[in-house]
Amino acid sequence: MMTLVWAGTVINSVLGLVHAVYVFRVVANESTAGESRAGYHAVWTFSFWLLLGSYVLVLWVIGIMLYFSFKAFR
Amino acid sequence: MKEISDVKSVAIVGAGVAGLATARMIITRGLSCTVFERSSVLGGVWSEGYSNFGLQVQSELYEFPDWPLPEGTPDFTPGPIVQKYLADFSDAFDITPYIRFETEVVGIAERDGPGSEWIVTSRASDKQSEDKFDLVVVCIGLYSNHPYMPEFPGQDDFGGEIMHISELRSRDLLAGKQVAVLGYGKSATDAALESAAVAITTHIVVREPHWPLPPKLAGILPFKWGLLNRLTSALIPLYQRPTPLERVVHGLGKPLVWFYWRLVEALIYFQCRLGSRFGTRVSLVPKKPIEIDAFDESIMLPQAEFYRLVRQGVIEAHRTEVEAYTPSGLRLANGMTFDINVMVLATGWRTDFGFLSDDVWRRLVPEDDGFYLYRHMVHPDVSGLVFIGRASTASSILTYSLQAYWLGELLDGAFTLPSADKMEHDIDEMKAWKRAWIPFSPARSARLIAHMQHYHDELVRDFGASPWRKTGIFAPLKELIAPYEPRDYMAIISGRWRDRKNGR
Repeated sequence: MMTLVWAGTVINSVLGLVHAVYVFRVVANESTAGESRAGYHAVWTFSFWLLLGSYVLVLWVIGIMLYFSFKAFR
Repeated sequence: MKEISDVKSVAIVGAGVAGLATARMIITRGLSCTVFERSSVLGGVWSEGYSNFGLQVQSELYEFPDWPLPEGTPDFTPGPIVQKYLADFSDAFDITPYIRFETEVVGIAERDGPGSEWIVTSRASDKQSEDKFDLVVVCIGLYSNHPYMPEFPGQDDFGGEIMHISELRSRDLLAGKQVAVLGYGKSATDAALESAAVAITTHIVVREPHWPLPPKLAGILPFKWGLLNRLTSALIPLYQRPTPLERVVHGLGKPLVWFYWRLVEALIYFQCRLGSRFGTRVSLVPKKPIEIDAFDESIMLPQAEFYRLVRQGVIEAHRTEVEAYTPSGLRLANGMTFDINVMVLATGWRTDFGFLSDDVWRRLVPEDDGFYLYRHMVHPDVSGLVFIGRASTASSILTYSLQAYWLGELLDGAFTLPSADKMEHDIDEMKAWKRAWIPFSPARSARLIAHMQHYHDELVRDFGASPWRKTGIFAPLKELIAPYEPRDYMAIISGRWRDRKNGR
């Protein structure tokens, strides 16, 4: 169980970091507040992934099972 | 043709929401402005309407960004209140003196061919006149004032009355009658409800049901939270110019997106009990997935009691087509016949841009699904002609306000249009994108609906403002899940964003 939790945390951290970098670049380019606002958005993004990423991954796995089941039986 | 930044005189066709928003931007810039309005009152679709017509959204979604509705305005605001609000807006920004009421535009043409100044021919009473302008802005919306009234065999022998929804000015017209309503948009369900209150029997004939959007999802959450935020914008079918993140979401994350929409369908299915075998033994479960159906001709935000009355049989729903009129009623394609005295056609309006000269019309390249424009406003082959209000979104007043502001910035020279080739290329891409997945309709070219967030972002970026409008400590969270409303753009429409950008 602990292994799964750690694996999920690592995956979420990587996804969160990539997403945070992306958000930072987009907001920094388009916000009058510049990098401070972009950094704030990036921190939130990373935090979201750490806190909620597991739920996203679980729903994604359920979605895969249902999606392919639906396609197979339709 | 003068450069767009040299424009001095502007004609605006229509004094509805789009016309008023545009007139404000033109007048603010000190340009000569003439607004042509065929009716004796301003407000466009809000100047007159069918019995009990009103907004199909919460009031905060239908106000100018920097001109809030009066305190205490009810949600799903009745039409006359909206008209009064627009009249107040017109007075407050000193637009009314620029409006020529009861003056119908009957011709718009270039004086000496492409690129020359515009001649607007108008008719007031019996008098016809011509005026010259540098720029013409067409603000008549998607449709004309000509009702679309389909005809069916046996119509001449039908003994009852056939009326378009626009003629239904009072429910008294239906009192004590046997009524059938044709259609399944907001106006059709409104008409059925009006009929159910006073008629002996009410039928609604539905060819293709659509997914309804309940005012509150699960009876708790206002629908704007499920439709008008950036998260939902990322989950609907990909935009014409998707972000890299959206590509990932619709690639690797496709099962998750698919699952999300099936959950939404399940929620609405149970909330509205669409699977009920209604009085006529039909269910009202749509065939199309909700994320596609939402871009169809009819957006369904019916009043809550509609489905209840259908379940109770007070309104009899028929999921089929009208085959013919009989002398005393209707015969449907499923073989059913019933008597009616009144047929209400809630079938929308025809498109009609007959006032544009043939040459201009040809250069707009009209097709079955309408004509396509760069940024839904300009065509590279017709300079000096702008369409504002020809974009169908979930918050039209916000979209039109941003379009009008975009035009104002363009006139100020704050940005320039791309080359004609680039605009042509963009239009071709838009055509291909929309035709790949949006259901056909005569106004598909103008449909954006829930993609309005992407569209608004592009307009805002064009003139150099930030599309990220949420503020406060929770701004990042709000950017993701909070609905975008007109007031989020208050600083832009009022021009204050530029002061902030310049550090003033």
